[in-house]
Amino acid sequence: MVERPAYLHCPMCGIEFERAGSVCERSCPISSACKTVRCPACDYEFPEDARSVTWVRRLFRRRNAVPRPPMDEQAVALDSLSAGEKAELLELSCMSGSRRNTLTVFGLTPGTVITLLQRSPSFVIRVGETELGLDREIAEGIYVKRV
Amino acid sequence: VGKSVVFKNLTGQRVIISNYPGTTVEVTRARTRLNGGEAELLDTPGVNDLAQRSEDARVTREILAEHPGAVLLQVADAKNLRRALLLTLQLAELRRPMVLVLNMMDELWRRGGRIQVKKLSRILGIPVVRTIAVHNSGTDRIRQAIARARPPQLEFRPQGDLTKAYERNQARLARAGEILAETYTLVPPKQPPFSMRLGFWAMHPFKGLLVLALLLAAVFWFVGLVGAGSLVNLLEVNLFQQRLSPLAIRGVDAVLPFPHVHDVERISSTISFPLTPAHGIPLYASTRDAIGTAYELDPAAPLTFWQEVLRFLHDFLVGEYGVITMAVSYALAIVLPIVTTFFLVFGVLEDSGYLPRLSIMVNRLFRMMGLSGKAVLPMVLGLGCDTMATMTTRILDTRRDRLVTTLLLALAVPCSAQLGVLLAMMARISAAAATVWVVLILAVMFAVGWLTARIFGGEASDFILEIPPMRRPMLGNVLTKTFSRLEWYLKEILPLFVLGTAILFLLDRLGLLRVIAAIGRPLVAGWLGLPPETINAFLIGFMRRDFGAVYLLDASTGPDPLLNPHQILVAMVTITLFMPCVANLFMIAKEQGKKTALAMTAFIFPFAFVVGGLVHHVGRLVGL
Repeated sequence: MVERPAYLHCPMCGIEFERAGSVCERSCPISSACKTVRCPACDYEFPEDARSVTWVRRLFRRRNAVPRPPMDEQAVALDSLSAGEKAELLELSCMSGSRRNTLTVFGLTPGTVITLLQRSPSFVIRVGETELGLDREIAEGIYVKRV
Repeated sequence: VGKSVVFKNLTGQRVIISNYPGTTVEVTRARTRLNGGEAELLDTPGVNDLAQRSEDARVTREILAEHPGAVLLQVADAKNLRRALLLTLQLAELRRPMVLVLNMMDELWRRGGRIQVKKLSRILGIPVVRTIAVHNSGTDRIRQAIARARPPQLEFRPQGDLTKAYERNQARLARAGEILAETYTLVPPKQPPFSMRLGFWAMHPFKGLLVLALLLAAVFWFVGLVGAGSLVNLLEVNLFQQRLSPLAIRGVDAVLPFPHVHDVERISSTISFPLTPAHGIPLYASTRDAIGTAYELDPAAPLTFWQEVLRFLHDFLVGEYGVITMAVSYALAIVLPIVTTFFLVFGVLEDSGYLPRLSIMVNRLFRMMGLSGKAVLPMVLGLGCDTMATMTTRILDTRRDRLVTTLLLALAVPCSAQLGVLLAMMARISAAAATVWVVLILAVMFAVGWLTARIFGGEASDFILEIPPMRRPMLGNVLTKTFSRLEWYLKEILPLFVLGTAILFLLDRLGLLRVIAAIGRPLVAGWLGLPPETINAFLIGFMRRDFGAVYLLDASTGPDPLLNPHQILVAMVTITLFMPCVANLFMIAKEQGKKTALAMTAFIFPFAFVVGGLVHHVGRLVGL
């Protein structure tokens, strides 16, 4: 079975969307044999080469799996902080564009000071006056510097 | 951030308002008088970012595109000005007249924050208004500001890679930070307010569990004992059986006369203030002789054809399957008190801001089901009404999450009406059997959730959840919300109950009920080990499972119950796993497509019988 990525990028408008969100016309006669996907935002149809995507993705993943050379020697992932610690955000890495954007619009930009309020049962952080609940998996991709 | 409250203040229209993001999933519109003219106001779902992939952002983008001439009213949380300015900068790129409303000023002040509104207004080039919408303060200022609305006079073009939304948002946030530095100051108070500390306790690993246990006990006491116990007793026995039903029967007898004599029963009841499921303080006891639905005909004088017609109508209204004696009394005397108490409690919980904290507590458990903790909101809402909850699954980001949550809601989350009835049935069985029921339903939820998530593939939504501050629920809002939900509920269940009763009545009259009972006998009597009469319950359970549950409750109470405790457990499990109601089916079809709705139906009903039968056979083997 070919591994398919859950998220696709539209080459036309750059939006990222879920595969399940790209359903085409139900009545289309070639639906099962069709190899193209349609962007839900701009309706641009593009071929989805499963193999090359997998290959690219694997490459991408391997590069991400190795921790990036920290731009700062004190850079640690958020999940290594203990509850109550304050830290300055360095960068959001190892995550899909949409996840990165969701965190960004909640105010998580490089240079922002965040407080880790608790680690269990879920991670809770404080950014300005916003409190956010996070999965450990997401916390692992947030790189910070203790202050 | 209070868009719906502002909307309510401006239009006077009732809308559902709660203390967590994502309450508004449907667009509400209303006409209102504004500055001498009339205007139409649209309430949109909340967004943090216009470019987001979520359903809410899509709906909001569509509204913006459909109404090119409209004035934009951005309602912002004053505490989180930086995030609000991000959206303001995005909206500014549209070059449309707008007003910025800074809401929740009281919370900002309490946290020691100050915003220089005039300066902010000058920088952005649009009117900026301060409000505390829940206290209806600042509404007039919004009205005046709408007249002064104009496109932002702000020159800002975000740099960065056009295909990467977050890079542009980072640029916008950087600009927002500059504006913030000029207009916003924060001197936090030394001691955090009590509500904030309470908020932390509610998500603390140990204290949080304690809070949860206390809440569950309180909800069980109020809904299960006061609502489903005392109030139902009061309404069903004291009001309906002792007074209203005899009155209705006499009234119908007077209008549709044919020679017959109703049996008289002695009905006694005690209303008590409940302390535990078995104990209570008796408040009021009464015994009355009242006539019931059963009657005897004079065997010496056969009825004429005309009298037979009258008898048919009589039975349709006040017979065993009568519209008044069954449908109306089930709906108003049993279901109504239960859902009222539930909606009251639920309204308080919603407004307090506890539910997002519950998500934090159970996120890991939900992960095991292949769902994200965000699915807690629809699931808990499902305990109120599964149909409403199915609509709320829109707050979930991925299709897989929406699908799995919808299925679990339809399969295993009992709605308030049914839950109350089930709690009442639970009082008839041992604590061990009740535990079996709870554990079994939870196990089914986990197993089915995990399997569907596996089969469907895709990814679970990211768990990134904003936690609103704990707030004191306002009685007025809780009551309004309860009333509008009750109105919706009654409008929906009364016709269905009447229809269900009418179908049962006709089946009974045509002798089909016996035929169906004979067909269903192997299933109900053989496989489930229940008395064949209970086929009626499952039959109407197809229409509304709480209606079926009420029927089963009827069969399991009284001096000589039809069902023994083991059978009650089997019946409870089976009816819990039924699909909630026809309305829920339609809602699933609307949200997820007809095919999905059909597939779910085809899975749920056989599955309910399979599990019920297993409980029967395994239970008998083990000797419960």
